[in-house]
Amino acid sequence: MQRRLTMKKDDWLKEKLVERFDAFDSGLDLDQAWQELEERRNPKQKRRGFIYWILGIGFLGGLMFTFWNKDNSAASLSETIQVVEENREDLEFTNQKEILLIENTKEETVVVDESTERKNRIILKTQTQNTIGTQKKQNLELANTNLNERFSYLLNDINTGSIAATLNMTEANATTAKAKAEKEDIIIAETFAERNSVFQEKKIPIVIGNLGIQKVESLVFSGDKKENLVPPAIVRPLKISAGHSFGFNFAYGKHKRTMLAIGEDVTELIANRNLQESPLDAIELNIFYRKRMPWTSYLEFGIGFMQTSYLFEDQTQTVSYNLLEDQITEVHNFPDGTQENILGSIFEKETVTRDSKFYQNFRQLHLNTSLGKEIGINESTGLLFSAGLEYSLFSQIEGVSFANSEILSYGSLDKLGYKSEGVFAGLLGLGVYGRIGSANKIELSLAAKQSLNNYSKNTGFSESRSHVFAKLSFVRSIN
Amino acid sequence: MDTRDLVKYCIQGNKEAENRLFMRYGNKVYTICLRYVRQKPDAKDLMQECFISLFKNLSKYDAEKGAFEGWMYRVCTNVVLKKIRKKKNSISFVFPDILPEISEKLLKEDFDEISTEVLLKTIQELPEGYRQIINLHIFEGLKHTEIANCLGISASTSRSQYGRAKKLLKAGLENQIAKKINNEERRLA
Repeated sequence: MQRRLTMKKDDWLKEKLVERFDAFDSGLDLDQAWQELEERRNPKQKRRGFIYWILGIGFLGGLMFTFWNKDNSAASLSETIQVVEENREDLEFTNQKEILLIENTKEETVVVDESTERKNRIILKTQTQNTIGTQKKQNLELANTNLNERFSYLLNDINTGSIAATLNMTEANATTAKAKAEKEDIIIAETFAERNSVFQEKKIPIVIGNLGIQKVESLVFSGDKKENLVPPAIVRPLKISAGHSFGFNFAYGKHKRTMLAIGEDVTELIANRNLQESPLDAIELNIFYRKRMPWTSYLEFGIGFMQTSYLFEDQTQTVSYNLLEDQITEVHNFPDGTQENILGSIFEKETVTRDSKFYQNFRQLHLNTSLGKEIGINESTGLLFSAGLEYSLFSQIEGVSFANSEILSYGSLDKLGYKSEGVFAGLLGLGVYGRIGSANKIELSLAAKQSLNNYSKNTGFSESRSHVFAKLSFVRSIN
Repeated sequence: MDTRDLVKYCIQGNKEAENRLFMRYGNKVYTICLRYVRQKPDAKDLMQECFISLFKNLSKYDAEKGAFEGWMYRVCTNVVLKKIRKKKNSISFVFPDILPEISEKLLKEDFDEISTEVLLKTIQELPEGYRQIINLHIFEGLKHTEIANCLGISASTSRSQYGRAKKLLKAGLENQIAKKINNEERRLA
């Protein structure tokens, strides 16, 4: 009688292992483990992140406050102008001056009403003394030369009858325009930026005043009182050289990760990934405060947000392995008629094709500080250089694998396990700036950022990030 | 209190019930975690994540579909694998060039001599990929197609690597037995 060949499964190990571990006591202190779990689930623990925020913002605020209140011996001339304005409160105003309508050679006399608000009155005043010394009395008259959208004002020296200064105004409403002019016949130093040497330098008389028309509340201008009228642009350095300014910038660029294996099992993967990874977009938004320092340099403190993303695609790889396979090599017949399969090993060749995609999003909030230097090309443009340090406060890293839908939710981002708070990065910037108006500045620069310590401290690998940005900044002086 | 009631109270947010559930299954979950990672603190950390996920998803458990324990194992395995995958985006199989001859019969006879702690240690010492395949196939009972999905490999790779994993495990166990015999001989000498 022919016996059927029966296949015995080689699963004794599986059964024994399951049986053993089913009754295994790991010796874990469950009470303590429960307490630790409760601590982890306690929301109070999660507030730790906010402490970093508060500390960071407090630090930034403290620095700003300190610099704001610091008595700087190299204060700019704008402070001098403020002194003059304060003195104005003690002066008397005369409302009997004429506004001359020059257009079409038709003359008209308007007397500003007494009840008009002070800021809309024509102001004549005599400056007898101020901090930088002044001494000449002069009467000025404001004249409206055009009732269209653009206004030209003439400042006439009443005593001599000559034009002392002229100024073009825009954005004014012709029908409601009421002008204010202040005349300060003061003497200041020839060199604007050298306040300390004001009293030693050769002095020339100039006119400084304020002109306000509804939408444009105040505009500082200056001119040579004698013959050559200086265009308002010359006043700009007074404002731009203000001690404090705020601004914001937007940057767009590329980033690159470099990963080094420090754990096991990932060396090959990471080396492969560094080759495969293509640099993708990085955007950054910062707001900052600047404090002017000596020698046209500045110190900047900012807080910003950055997002980077990359899509990693493995090359389709075809790898051949020699695999050991269990095979029945012999059938043993026992005297009682039973049979047992004897397993042996043979090599089998297998070819595997691997193809995967991985997408990662990285968001970060950071503090930064930098030291900058401006080199003027002319009065309104120049070059700037900066270098600084950045510190990451908070970060969130999300990823999705399109190849392993069972592990990460398919098609949706999933937070990744590693954190990157506390990473320092070096900053470098090189660019140009241009002044717009008396208090605004626009900057366009090329910026680079390089992490200085490990971005993935909780993982088995070391990661550094490099960024290159094109950065557009807006800066506004606040005094 | 049976597990079904315990789960019901846990869903209602009862801390006492949560504590009891933890005390009942904490050891089993910790053992699962121990099999996947080598260090005890890592296993403890994983266990906490498993329970956080369990408590969060308890409302999704349907008692009519199966026993709580089976559902719990599945949730924990997913948490563990997710954690491992987050750290490493690929799985590697490193097979030693030389493997000692394994006497299947001897190993079977001496298996009971090996303590569970030593068994655990031997599993923990397996290279990452083999350890995961052993855990998923033997302990979690997953089929090779399911393992393939979990680990991002083909089913045929999972099948063939499982064979190699078993060989490595057996070699490791034989090594442990040999060590034990050596120690005893030294003690007697």
